[in-house]
Amino acid sequence: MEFDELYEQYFQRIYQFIYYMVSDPSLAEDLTQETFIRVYKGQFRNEAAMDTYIRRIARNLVYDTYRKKALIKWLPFQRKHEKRETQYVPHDWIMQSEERRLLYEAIQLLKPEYREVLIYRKIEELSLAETSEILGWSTVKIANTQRSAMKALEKKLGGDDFGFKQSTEGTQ
Amino acid sequence: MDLNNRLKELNKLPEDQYIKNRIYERIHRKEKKGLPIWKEGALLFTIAMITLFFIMLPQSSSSPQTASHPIQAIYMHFGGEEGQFFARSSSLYMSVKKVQDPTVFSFFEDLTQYVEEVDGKLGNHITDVVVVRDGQEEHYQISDTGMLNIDSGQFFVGNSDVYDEVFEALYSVKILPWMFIFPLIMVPINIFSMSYYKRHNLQGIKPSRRMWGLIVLVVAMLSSVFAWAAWVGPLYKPLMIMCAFLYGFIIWHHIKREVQTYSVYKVETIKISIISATLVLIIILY
Repeated sequence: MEFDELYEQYFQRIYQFIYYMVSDPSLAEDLTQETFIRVYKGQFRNEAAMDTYIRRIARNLVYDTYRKKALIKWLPFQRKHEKRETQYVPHDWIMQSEERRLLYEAIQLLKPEYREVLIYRKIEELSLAETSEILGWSTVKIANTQRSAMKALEKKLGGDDFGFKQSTEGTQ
Repeated sequence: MDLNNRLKELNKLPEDQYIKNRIYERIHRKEKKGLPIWKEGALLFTIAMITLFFIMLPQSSSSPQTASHPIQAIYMHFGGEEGQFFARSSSLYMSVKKVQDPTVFSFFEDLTQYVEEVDGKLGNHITDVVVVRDGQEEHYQISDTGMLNIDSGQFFVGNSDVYDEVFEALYSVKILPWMFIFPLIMVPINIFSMSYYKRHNLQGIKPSRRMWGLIVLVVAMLSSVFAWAAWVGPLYKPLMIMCAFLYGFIIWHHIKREVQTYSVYKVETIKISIISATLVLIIILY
């Protein structure tokens, strides 16, 4: 598959995944760009597994960003996006609906593992097998994480246990 | 609407054509952009220059002189060649050891008691010795047939048992033999990583064009190290430790940029950490 065709096909789902994971449009843009640069430079030819391959790159970049922020901030030769702090900027489309905004902000309060399982399984509706391939987890682990993530999300949406209402109000 | 349907709704984030085009353009612009390998080269050069500056600084590792001991320290370098002198007045150099033997000290305190000056030639078994006396360095080469004062060019032959005792004390390997087992650590590490990749159906790193550049850099570093050790003198441990760390950093930095699977990144990072740590340990002990 040619790069242009591939870019056309995968851009939106990759950008969306990264955006939901990092909540910063500018960082999401940089990480999406980095993902496609790696795809562009890569030698991957197995088109059947291309979807998993690209998603894995995006996922690794997101985790790389989390990890770098936590552990190796001091290292030289960081790229621009690696040095920057994440800023929470909700998308206009999300802000258009109150229900959507609350849900999105509740997802942002979940830990990254829960968030990504929900993105793959509930938002993008990938199968257990597909999710398992991307995450490198067993299907049982994914099912368990999904259950815990849904519970955590319901809690966040449901009440003040986690201070959800206050925190979402604070983002306005 | 139930939670599942509300979550599905989030999959309809509209595509931003402007961002899409901008990223596309940037990817094609970056295509020709140079690799940051020059930065790594510049860093290596800077570290080497700083270390060279420290090497140039006079070493003052000797202890203060006392009335009873005019010799502050004796250093030896096992194995030497006539016409070449490798010992240095600091144990910070690789394979240079500080001598603690009191017989050697008393021997060098008054050489005239144990040796006599004659014409002669050094034997095949030579050890280079630096004696720090009254803050001044004296350079000797001691062999099975006699001893040469490098500074004055005088040749001495031992006329007592003490000379033989001193030669035996100095002509002995001080390197720990089990240290050479360390490089073998590479074997289990590689077996482990290979089996891990096989078990998890992962593909290890394939050498890219950039990797070849790094290999050339590492080979050049190694060649310089061996050339220096063979023709110039013993290697300076702090510089070598820095090189080991730098080697680890360069390879790790490459891995960080190239690897697209987190598990491979983790395994390769552990591998390079162990290799660097082993290198540092060998340098410290050698």
